[in-house]
Amino acid sequence: MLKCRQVSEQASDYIDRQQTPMQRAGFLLHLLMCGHCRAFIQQLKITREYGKKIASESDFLNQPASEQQLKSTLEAIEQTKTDT
Amino acid sequence: MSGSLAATRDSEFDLDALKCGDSQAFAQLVSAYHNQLLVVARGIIGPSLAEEVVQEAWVSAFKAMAKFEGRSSLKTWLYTIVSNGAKTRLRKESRQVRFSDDEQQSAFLEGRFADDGHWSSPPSQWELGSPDRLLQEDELRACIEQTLLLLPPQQKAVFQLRELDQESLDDICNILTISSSNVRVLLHRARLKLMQVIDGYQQTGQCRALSA
Repeated sequence: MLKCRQVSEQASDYIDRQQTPMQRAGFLLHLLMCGHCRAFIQQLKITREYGKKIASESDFLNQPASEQQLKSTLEAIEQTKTDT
Repeated sequence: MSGSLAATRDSEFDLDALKCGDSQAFAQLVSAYHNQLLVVARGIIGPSLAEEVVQEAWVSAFKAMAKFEGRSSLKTWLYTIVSNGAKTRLRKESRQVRFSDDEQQSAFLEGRFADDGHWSSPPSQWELGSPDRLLQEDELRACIEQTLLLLPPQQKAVFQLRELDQESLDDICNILTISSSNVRVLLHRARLKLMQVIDGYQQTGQCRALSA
C-alpha cells in the first residue's frame, strides 16, 4: 500500500503523467482515501502552474545578454571569419 | 526534437538572414538566448567552464547556421550544440556528469511524516487557491523569482528546460546527460522549493527567497 510519504515524493510524476498505469492506479486509490494527500497534490499543481507562469512572464529570468557578453561573443565570431 | 514554446519564438528571428551569416541577425539570437544557454551549460559542466563552453557553442552555431534545417526549434538546436560542447569538454578533463544529490530529503517535507509513513504535519489550507490569485501578489513574485535564480545548477537547468521551454523528458535527458528518473527528481525538488515559499506566504503573508 502506498504511504503518504511516497505520495509526496512521487507527486510530480503523478501530476505530469509520468507514471506507469499500475503506479497511477495506486496513486488514485490512495488519493481517494487520503484528504491530506489530495490537498498536497492540489497545492503542487498550483505551484507547477504558477511557477511556469512566473518563469515565462518574468523579465528577471529572461534577461537578454549583457553588452559585454554580446560584444565578446561577436568578437569570437569575427575571429573565426578571419581565421582560415 | 521540438520544444513547443521555444518553437513559437523562432518567428522573432530572421532565419534567412541568419543562414546567410548576417551578424546583426545573429546578435539578436545571442542577445535572446545567451543567458539561458549558460543555465544549461552550468547544469552540465558547472559554473567555472560554462561561459567558455557557451562562447564556443555560439561560434559553432554561427558556422553551422546555414545547415539548420528547422527540424527542431532554434533554441533546442542551440541547446544541443551547448550540450555536445560541454560533454566534449568533460571528456577532455576525464570528468563525467554527476547527478547532484545534494539534498537527501526536501526541507519542505522533512520531519513531516510519522514512522508509519502518514502525515504527522499535513498540508495547511491555502486561502490563495489558484495560480492567477497568486500572480496578484507582487511580494511573492519577487521571492519566487529570486528562489528560481538561486536554484542549484542542475535543478535550475531542468526547471528551465521543462517548465519554461517545455522540452520533452527525453530531450532533457539527452541535453543534460542524466537519466529520466534523475530529471524528474530534480524537477520535483525545484517545485518543492517553490511550494515551501508559497506555503510560508500563505500562512504568514510574508516570504523569503530560498537559496540552495
